[in-house]
Amino acid sequence: MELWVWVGDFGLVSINSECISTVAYIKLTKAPVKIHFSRNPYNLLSGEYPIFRHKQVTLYNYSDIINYLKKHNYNMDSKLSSKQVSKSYTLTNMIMASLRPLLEYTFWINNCNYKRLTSAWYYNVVIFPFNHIYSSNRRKLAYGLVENTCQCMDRIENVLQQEAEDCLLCLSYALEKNEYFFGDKPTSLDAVVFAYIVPAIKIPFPINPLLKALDSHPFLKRFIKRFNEKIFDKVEQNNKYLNYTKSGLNMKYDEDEETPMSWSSKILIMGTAVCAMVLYAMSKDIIDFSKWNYVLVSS
Amino acid sequence: MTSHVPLMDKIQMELGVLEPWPKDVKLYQPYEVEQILLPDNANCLAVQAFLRMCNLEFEVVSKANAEFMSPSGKVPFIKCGAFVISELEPIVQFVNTKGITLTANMEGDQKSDMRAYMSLVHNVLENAELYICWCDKETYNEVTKPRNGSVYPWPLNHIQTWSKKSTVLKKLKMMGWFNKNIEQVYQEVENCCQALTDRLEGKEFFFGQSPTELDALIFGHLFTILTTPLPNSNIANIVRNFPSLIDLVQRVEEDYFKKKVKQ
Repeated sequence: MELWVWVGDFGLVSINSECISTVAYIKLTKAPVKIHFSRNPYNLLSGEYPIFRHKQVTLYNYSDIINYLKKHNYNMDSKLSSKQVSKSYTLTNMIMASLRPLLEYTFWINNCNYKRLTSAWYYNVVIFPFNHIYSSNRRKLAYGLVENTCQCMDRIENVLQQEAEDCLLCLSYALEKNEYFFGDKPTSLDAVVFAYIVPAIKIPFPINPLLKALDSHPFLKRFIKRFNEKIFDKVEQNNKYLNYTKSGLNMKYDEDEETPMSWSSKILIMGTAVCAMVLYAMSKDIIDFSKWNYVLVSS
Repeated sequence: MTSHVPLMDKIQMELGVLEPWPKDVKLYQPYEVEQILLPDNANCLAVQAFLRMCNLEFEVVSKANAEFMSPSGKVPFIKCGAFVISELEPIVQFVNTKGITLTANMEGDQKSDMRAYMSLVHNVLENAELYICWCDKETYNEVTKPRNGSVYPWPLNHIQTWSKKSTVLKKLKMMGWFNKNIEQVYQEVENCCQALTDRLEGKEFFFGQSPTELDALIFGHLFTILTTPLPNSNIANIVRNFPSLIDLVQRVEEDYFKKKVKQ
């Protein structure tokens, strides 16, 4: 069995939450899966990691991979009662619906984060020539996801943060003071919760709404720390691919409000260039306008 | 899903408390017989059930272009005095500002539990309904296309249906539902119903003796799934395997819809 995931940084095993949850699940079940850390986004032409392969089977997302592993007896949830399975299903769904959009926003949509951190990181990590196009393509995808939650881009951060806070509150009530969500053994829910919160803690985003929201949930924070130490203690804690200091990131915040070039100015520039070329061609007699004159006169 | 307007919220809080529930509240929705589609119908019914549970008076107004009148582009929406509010959660919040609530006796953990299950219903049942209406070829050609286009003249009916289809497909792609096959969609619906049944535990309503907005939402979706005739009735058959949910739907229908008609 083999698994391809995004390469990690900032002390994360992978930069992508779905990859983190898959890797965490595999580590917890000790399934014999060889994990490849990839820097090429267009590997195997699927577009996004994780990608899982076993014999003839190729799977492209977390839930399919987990279901496949469960069928092959690598099941962390086998001891849960049917009620707990239902609870786990509900909370996993809520994380996908409420936490994921805020994370997508933090990574890709917030201008400051995108310019100072995300796009720079992917530019350094993704192999040439894809590093020039990956970030902007991925950003469009994130816009699509976030638009589902909120049509209006002006107040998007507030809306997403509100949703995420509701979700964190729910998780806090479910976790209480326990070591894991269901007793003292980790389950798939623990892996998912970890994967969708830990990037906000580890990655030094200049604007980080999820981290702010986490402050009021100390047990959840401690849970993430515990889980990280248990499973990913061997992951390198330093940042490898991007040289940054958080203060440096903050200082340049003012520049981020630059407006992209409008279509009308692009057309004006292109028009001027075309005129200049035509005039040059006429002056050098490269284009012969005598026939055109004939047409104009005769009509 | 939820739309919050911080400033508007504050204004509503200020004004809403002062004014009682007006008599001329109107609930706008598409035409129920000819036009409305499964997911929209579910949401309209959920809001109606919620308002009836709160014992609030309203009048249902059918408009062909209700979708385009709504501030968020989604139906249904209510017009209450100077306020126009769309979708269930904002309407619940608005009604709460009038001092009317179904969740007065609930603790914080129950409220957040309720939010988790509402999110589950939105995330699973709504997406499954959208998938069946727009991605299942048979349902799309026989039901969705003629119904959605029924209120527009040619060629607008084709253009409108096509543009709506592309919006819905984009949404499903983002949520990761577009890549599922129909069997996986049925599996999700079954998981969702199982999760709801486990939470209900054979009780009368999800949180004790009286209904909440969660019951209204589930009623809206399940009642619509059960009663809408589709070329492929698999999804209704899945829901029928969960008798405690069917009981809940019947109870809400008896208590809040049939009685009103008799009066």
